[in-house]
Amino acid sequence: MLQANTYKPHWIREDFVDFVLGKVNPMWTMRRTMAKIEAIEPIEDDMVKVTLSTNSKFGSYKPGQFVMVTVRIDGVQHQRAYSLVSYPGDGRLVLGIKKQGRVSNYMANTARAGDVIEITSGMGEFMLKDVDQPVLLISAGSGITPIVPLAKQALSRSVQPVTLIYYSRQPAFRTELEALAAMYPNFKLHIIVDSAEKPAFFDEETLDNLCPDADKRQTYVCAAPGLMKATRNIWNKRGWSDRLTQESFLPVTISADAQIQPVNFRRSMQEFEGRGNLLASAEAAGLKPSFGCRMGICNTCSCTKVSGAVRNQLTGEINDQNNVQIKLCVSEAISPVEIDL
Amino acid sequence: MKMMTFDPANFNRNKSRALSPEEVQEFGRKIEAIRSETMAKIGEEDSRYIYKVRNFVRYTEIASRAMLMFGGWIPPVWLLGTAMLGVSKIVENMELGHNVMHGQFDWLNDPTLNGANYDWDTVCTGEDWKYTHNYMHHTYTNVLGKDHDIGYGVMRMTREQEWEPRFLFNVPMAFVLSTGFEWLLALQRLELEQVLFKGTKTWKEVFVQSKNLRKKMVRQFTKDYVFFPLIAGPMFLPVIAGNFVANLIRNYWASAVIYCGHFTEDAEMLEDNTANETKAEWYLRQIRGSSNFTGGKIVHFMSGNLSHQIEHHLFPDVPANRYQEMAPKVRAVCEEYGQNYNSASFASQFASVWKRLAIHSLPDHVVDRIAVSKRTFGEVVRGIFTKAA
Repeated sequence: MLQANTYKPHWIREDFVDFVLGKVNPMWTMRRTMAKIEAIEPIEDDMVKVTLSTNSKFGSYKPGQFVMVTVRIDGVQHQRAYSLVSYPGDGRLVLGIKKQGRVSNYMANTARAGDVIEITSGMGEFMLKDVDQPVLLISAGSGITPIVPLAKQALSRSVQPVTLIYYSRQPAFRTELEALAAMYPNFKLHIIVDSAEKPAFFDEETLDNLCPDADKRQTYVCAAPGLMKATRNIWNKRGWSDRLTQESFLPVTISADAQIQPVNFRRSMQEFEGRGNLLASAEAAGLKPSFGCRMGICNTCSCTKVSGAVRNQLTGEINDQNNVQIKLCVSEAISPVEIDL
Repeated sequence: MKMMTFDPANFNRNKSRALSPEEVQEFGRKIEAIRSETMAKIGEEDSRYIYKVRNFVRYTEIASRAMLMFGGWIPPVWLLGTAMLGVSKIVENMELGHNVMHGQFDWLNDPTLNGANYDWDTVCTGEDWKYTHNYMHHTYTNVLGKDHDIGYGVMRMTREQEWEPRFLFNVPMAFVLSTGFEWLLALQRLELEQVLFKGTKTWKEVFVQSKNLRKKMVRQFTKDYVFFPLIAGPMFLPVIAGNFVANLIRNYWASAVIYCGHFTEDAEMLEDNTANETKAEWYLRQIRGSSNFTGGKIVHFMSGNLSHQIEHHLFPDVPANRYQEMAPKVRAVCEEYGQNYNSASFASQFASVWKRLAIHSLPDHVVDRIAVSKRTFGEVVRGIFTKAA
């Protein structure tokens, strides 16, 4: 009844139109953004570089943003967010995909040039702030992907110094970064190559060595949880947290200390124990609700919470209202909850 | 825990044995095991199946509308086109729409086949249906006073419902409801009998409540009776007639399937015990309140697998294409615990629906007197024969 005022019966089913158009050209749709895979090339660090051309439904994107990629694997649609390595205006979209999950492995091993996949326009808030200040970029591993266009943008928009600290065992996009460094004298590039036997860690000493004026800079970090936490701690400790922007690329994990709450899926008449993340709890109970990104972005798992209180695991926000939309993948029950699924 | 007691007086017929609380729980666990076993298998096969069903609906709709539009004046073409459009609508409503709206295919993660988004090709809005059907009917299956599907407020299905003169029209009423079945489903949530017979609701409330429904009604009506006839130009009449008959075909078949699922003689109407009911007891109630009909693959497909109404009520969120393989297992558990597994041919289930409607259209004392006189008549006849021998 939430949609009471917005309900509009469709005159023609969109999927039907897309089905008919798709018989002529798979890139033709009513509204959906489609992309044709132009090339898939293996690159360093167990990654593949995927080049895409889009149909006219693709909006635009800003450096640092990602697109959601949807593919059908074994009959089931899966969705994952990938940062764009390309720069707006490049023409083609470029994704750097690390082979580490279901969608990523599919893109690396099964997808072929010529395939048409569904994507979204640019999404996400990981963008340069609109201030003319020096920039510090920190990344590790495949976290480099949104950093490449951010560096380009920072360098092209002002002559302020830009420093990049990049940890990797096999640095990807090294050529692109080194070309930038050659072109812009205000760009300091520190690629730190480490190994599994001798991993390098980011600490205050490293920071002070490589970027002594970090307090005057806007800092952007995209990396695995360890480096994210390390930078957050240092910036908090030094009182600079207003100058730190982070981008996480891993799904929400289940907190082990969560309380057990009874959860009821009203339409499917299934009751189960919610422990921490609702989506994971439902799956553990043998249920199969829809899901997409599993990180609170795509809305695929959105559903109506009829009653009960949930906590948003990303923001900590508590929602105890009746008949509101929640996203299962980032919600945890903090009271008995009833959901219209 | 409360003992699950089924007082035979509450039911028209009760062929199931009363179970001890322990047996009820064991029974529930065995039903649960069938569910888990099937859910573990759900995957690519089911995905392929439902996409095939959707393509079937798309191709038959394109073909049938094209036939009516371009060859509607040729009687055999009109007949074929109309019949095919009827089939297309039946499959869209039942095997595709009904099942998708139960969330059976939510796991595909495909927004176009997601239970929350899907809106089917019938007057009833998806939103209203999810309330009256998915929630009310499936939660309170055959519970008197809760499940509006018991006679839809206008037919008398059991002695527990007090007789009123209007129920004399049980049988013609059921026929009228079948004819306009999509409109019945659409209007169900408004519970118009409350305005018409009980005076517990006003037309104004109905008007407010029916806001979305009115939009959908306009859409459905315009689509079949204005848009397609108009674009057919000279084929206006054959198209409008074809669409009308196709909707009728769908209405009769859909209502027959639904009646056979819950209105057969052995489908029990139950008292409200839902407040302190366990899941196992809920399973039992679903079995006692539902009935299956047998048939070949085409019958199951055309009924949206609601020929397996028992399995559907036990497992409303399991993809319906799995009910056929689950049925023998459910039946075996029922037999083990002496529970009536109500299953018969379509013809005999359908006949028993009309018999039940006819019996309850009359006041109980009249029915009893007829039963007595029938018995007396039988005794007299038997007496004559024994004497003759």
